[in-house]
This record gives sequence, C-alpha cells and structure tokens, in this order.
Amino acid sequence: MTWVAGHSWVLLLLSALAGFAFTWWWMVRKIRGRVPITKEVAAVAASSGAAGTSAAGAGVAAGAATLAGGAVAPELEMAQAPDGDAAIVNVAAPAADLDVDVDVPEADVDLPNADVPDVALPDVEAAVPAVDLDVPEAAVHLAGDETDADLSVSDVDAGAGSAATAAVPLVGTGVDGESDSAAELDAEAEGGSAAVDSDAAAEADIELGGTPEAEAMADPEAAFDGKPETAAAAAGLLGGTAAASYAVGSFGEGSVDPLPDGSMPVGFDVKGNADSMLYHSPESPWYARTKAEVWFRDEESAAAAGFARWDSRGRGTRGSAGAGGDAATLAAPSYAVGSFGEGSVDPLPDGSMPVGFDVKGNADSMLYHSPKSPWYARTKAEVWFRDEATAAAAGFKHWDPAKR
Amino acid sequence: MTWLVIHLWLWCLLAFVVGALVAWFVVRALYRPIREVSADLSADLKERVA
Repeated sequence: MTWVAGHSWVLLLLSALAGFAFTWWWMVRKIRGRVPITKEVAAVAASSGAAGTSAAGAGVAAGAATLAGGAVAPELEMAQAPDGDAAIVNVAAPAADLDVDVDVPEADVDLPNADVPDVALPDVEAAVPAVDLDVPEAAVHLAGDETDADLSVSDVDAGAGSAATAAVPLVGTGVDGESDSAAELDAEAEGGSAAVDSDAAAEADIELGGTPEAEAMADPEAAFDGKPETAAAAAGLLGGTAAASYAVGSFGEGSVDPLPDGSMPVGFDVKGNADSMLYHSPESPWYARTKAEVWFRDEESAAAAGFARWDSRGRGTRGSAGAGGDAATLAAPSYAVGSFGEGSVDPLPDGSMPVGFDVKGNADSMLYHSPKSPWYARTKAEVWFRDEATAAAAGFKHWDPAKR
Repeated sequence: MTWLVIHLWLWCLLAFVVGALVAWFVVRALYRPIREVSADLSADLKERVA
C-alpha cells in the first residue's frame, strides 16, 4: 500500500485504463446492438429490391423486373469468377406497362464441366401481350476449369403491343447453345426443374408460349425433365393464359395453401399470416420474413378473405368481408369437438390455428387470449375457442383482469 | 496546488475521464463505416418501401 501511495502515477495510469476500458465496452455494446438491425435492413432491401446482384459466383436477387412494351433487348451479363463460377451480375430490363405476370421464384442454373465458348441466342420474334417478370432469386453456376461463357440474349422483336424477354429464357424455355462439353442447364422453378441440354450448334430457341401469335422455334432436344410440375411452372412462366392451376385454398377463391416445398405458387405473391390475419404484399418490409400460411392472388383476394393489409391499424377477422369471407367460411374445415366442449378445438398436430377458432386458451392459467391480447402471440394454445363467449362458457377467464 | 497533490483521488478521477474520452473518440472513429452503411441502407429501404 505504501508502494502504491508512493507511485501515484500507477494509480493515475490504472484510472485512465479503467476509464478507457469501461467506455470502450459501453460504446461497443451499444453499437453492436444496432448491427442486427443493419443486417435485417440489408436483407429486406435485397429481397424487395428491383435487382440485387451478387458477384461471388452465386446469385442474383431480382425482386420485380418488369419489362416494357415494344421491342425489348434485355441485357444479361455474366461475370467470370476466378474459381470458374460465373454469376449473372446484372439483369437490366426497361420499365414496363405490361400485364402478364411471369414469376420465377427461384432459378438455379448449373453448368457442370462447362467449357462453353459462346452461347448465343439469335433473334427471336415473338408477339406476347405482356410479360411481367418477377425474379426473386436466380443463381447461375458454371462449374469447371475452363469456363468462358458468353451468354447473351440478342434482339427480341415483338409485334404490336409488347414483347419481353430477360432471364426468362433460362427458365422454362428452350435454350440450346453451342458448347464443347455437355452443358446442362438446370432451372428450378416452382419446385420443379427444367433440364436443358445444350451441345449442338449455336442456335437458340426461345419459346414464349401461351399466345397463338408467339413465333418460337422449339428445339426438340431441349426438353423438360418430364415432371408435371415443371410443365406447370413453365406454363405459368410463359403465358398468362396457361398459368398453373392450384387447388382453391382454405380461404376461398383467390387463395392457395402453401405448397409442400414452401415455394410461392405462380401468380399468388401475397402472403397471408393466419395468426395475425394480416397479408403482406411484396412491398411489405416484413415480406421476406413472413412465412406464408396462405398465398393470395392479389391484395383484393386477401382483403376479401378478411385479411388486413400489413400496414393497416386494424387487423382482419376471418370471414369478415364480402363474398370472399363467405367463401372462406364455407371452405373452413370441420374439427372434432375439443376437450372443453362445443366451440372448442384441441390443438392441431402442426400447431396451426384451426380456421374459425382464433381464441387461445391456456389450460394452466385458465385464461383465454383473443387476438387483441398483448400476450396472444406468445401464448401457446392448449385449446382453441371459436370466440370469447365460448371460452368464458368453458370456465376460462379474460386475459385482462379488469374485464373478468 | 498542494491540495490537489494531496488529494490523489481527484487526479485518479481526472485520469479516468481522460481515458474515457480517448476511448470514446477511438470507438467513434472505428465504427463510423458501420453507421454510414446503416444510414444508407435505411434511407434506401425507405425509398423502396415508399
């Protein structure tokens, strides 16, 4: 102690170090708290962006690429990565005033052992009423040592009205390009995959189907893999009139239940959250994070099923609006009477909410939580009730002590 | 002045504050890129949503 008192500089140094360390810890902790938000913002921006790029031999996130009417010559640029991987780094498409939607949820193109000097897609004339491309994610991989691919889409002329191409030729259309080695393009879309072999002379066939005016040179060798969903996906991609058909979902006409592979049904890009009864269109900042419990064709269909827009104050209620709501009610499945009598349903095996039974009951606390409850989302339903009156009749109490 | 020398704790407090200020400047300079990127992304997101 005497030594310390005699060496006051040590104390001063320790004090300064303590101040430094404490402030460092405090500030870094504060800043790091913001980093997850930064990542989240980046993810949302990437998913909702018009065209995101990834130069590291991987992906292209193109949110909504809309093609313009008239002659369109989209640009498709390939970037060469040192390891032989190539990525589409830029998909540019002019703005559009077209009507037909072509959704490409995910496309993955692999070129194994690719020694592809040139893949040229010559002029194609096609009269397509309208094409609206939605390419959330696309990835092109060129595996192999000597990868020198030049994949270009040249002039595409359209008849009166409009025309469109872009990344479409990669998915669901025949692409036949020159290649020294067998280059196989696997395009995955809507759970299916379209395999396109390209080892013939440099000729490219772009088939824009769905319209009788379409002039396309279909290559017989460029064939899909035979899966029915591939054909459906391709049909959905290529023509508004040949859109893939899905079974009517549990929320009536205009809705589709989630597909087994979790992908987005073609033409149904509005996500519905059955718990919150909110729907999220692609412009919603929560769109990417929302797990669709039902897909809607458009916002009108979602609103008709009783869902509220994601940015609206009030939440939707099941079967609350119009004919769509009636359809949802009619389409509601029937459940066995739960352990708390009529109007109650025991939890479903998948943990989802039974349609029409949106009041959660906690058998431990004997409290029920309506969607208005602040604890609704956190409450694990041990029984579902049709409404609050049914829950009260079963002996459950309101979650708010003031309303018991 | 003698009073200050005798009261060593005051010097220690002063050293603590100096150390804290140095740390504040250093951390602020180091994390400036993160703040700028975050601000850019936020502005970009607002534009897209709007």
